[in-house]
Amino acid sequence: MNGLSFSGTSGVLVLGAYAVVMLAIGWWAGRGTTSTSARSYYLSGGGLGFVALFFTLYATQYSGNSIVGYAPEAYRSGFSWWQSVPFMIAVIAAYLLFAPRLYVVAKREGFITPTDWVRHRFGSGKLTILVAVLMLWGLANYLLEQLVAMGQGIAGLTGTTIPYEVGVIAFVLVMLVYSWSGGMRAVALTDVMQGIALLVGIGVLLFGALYLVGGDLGGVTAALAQTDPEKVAVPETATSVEWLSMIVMIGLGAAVYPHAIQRIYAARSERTLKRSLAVMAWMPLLTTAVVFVVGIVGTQLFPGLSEDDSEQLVGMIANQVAGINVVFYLMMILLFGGVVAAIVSTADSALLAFSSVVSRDIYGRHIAPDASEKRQVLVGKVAGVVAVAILLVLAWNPPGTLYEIFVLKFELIVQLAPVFMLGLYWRRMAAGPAFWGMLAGALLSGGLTVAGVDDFGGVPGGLVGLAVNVLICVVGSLMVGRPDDGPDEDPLAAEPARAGAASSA
Amino acid sequence: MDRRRPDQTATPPAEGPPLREPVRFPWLWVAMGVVVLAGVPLYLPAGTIEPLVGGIPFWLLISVAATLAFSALTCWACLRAWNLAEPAEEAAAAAREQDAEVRP
Repeated sequence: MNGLSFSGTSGVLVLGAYAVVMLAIGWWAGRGTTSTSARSYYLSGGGLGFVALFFTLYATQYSGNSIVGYAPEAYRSGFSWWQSVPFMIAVIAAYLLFAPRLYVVAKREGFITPTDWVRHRFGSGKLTILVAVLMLWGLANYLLEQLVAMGQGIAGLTGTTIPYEVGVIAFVLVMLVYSWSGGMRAVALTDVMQGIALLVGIGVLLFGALYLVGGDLGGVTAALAQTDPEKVAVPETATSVEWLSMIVMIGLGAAVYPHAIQRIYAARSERTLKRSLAVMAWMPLLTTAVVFVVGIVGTQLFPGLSEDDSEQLVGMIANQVAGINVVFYLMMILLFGGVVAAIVSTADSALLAFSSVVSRDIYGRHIAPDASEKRQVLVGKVAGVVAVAILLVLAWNPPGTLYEIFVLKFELIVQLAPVFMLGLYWRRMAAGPAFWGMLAGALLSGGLTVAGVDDFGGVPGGLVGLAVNVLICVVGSLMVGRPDDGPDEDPLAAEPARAGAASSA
Repeated sequence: MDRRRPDQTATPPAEGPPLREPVRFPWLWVAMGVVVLAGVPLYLPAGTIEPLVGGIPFWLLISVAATLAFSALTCWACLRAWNLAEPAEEAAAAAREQDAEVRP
């Protein structure tokens, strides 16, 4: 988006307005939050209603990259990028594998961090430490990605009227202020505004792009079939295997992100949670599907772009749309405000989850077990600020050859899936095999990424690591576990007795 | 794995809809697997474009239809295959409301 120069002063004004609104919502939301209670600060007291929960799920799952990164992917890959729609639906389907039961256990036991489940199920040992480390690593990388995207988005929107670094620092400060004062409640309520801004932005981008091609999608496809038939045709087998693999890996990985799990804990009720997820199941069709169409339309508006140039596709389309008339110009400013809002909304959720893991699972468990809850929350807040400062330095000075290590994200996070998705149902699953499986899976997938081996015939290294992880975990548990090792978490187990009591009454 | 009978519902509570958990619906996960696989064009020869329907290749339309089915199944599972804590939570909320009405 660096080439975007149509909205200098207007862009500054829009971003300024967004910042003020975020601060105001954060201040308002923070009035009911107390920093003396971890549950109040990190989970909004477990009281998020439908609107706040739905939008915080939405704005957290979809970041600015869902627009500015996915449209160029569709431009380069063609129709095979339709995979971005089912892989986002798969995240919600993966929730169904564990969220219903985890919600019941979490409410009963008063969980605050995802590691609380692991500790409850497997005891406090090396497994919980490994889980916390993988979560912190994945969250830090997620934050890093958002910080880089934030700077590019702001510089692009304002035509570098606001330089990259100044833009990032300004919005990071805004994010830190409202997160510090209002915790999850502030994050969730700003997500409502940010989610609406993202939806409006995507809508106007689609409208503008279709306007430029006269609404003739069939014509776009026919022209693309002439110039780049491979983008329109059934993809090669390796691409289709990768498509299927991405559905599995992103589905499982994104569902067990710490901030995703904390939204299960934060729901006011099961009714609220399942209704929010039911609507979320349709959101990829309003988000990544729309961005897919925009990317395909881009192949006709700006044919023949190199890989680097295609990264600027959304900015180029926005520039052209803005040139139509003043209404489109204003709509495109809204779009970029929406992109920046989406990035901030994803970053704030990851930051809050990061703080909670440091505060509860590292500081409160291993460094100062006697510390008051208020002090734990304060340490979490400070850790979040320090982490953001370090990540900013990394974002501006990428560590050269080690860069691959810092971009490991899904490959590591997806290794957490078995302790949630198997651990909730299989009482024989044992802590030792779960630990060694997770460690082997993380080292294998991380090692493959660092070695530059992206996939095996379309299957990504992260999924290969997960297969090894599950194998070790299952075989090891069959060998050393006992049938009733874990607690019985079946919420339906007491039903026959209850029904019997009812009939005899 | 949980050795209990993989039936779809437990014995219904005294009143209200029966307790349900999505993982206990085997056909749901089979159906999800089918729609996911149907949406990935692994079963079609690479390089095929035609026939076109309204200018769009048929294989993409199959993928889009499978994706819609995936969303619909997931949405249905959230709303109809999941009912664990809701009866107790609703009963507790109703009791709180009743209690609030009784107090002056």
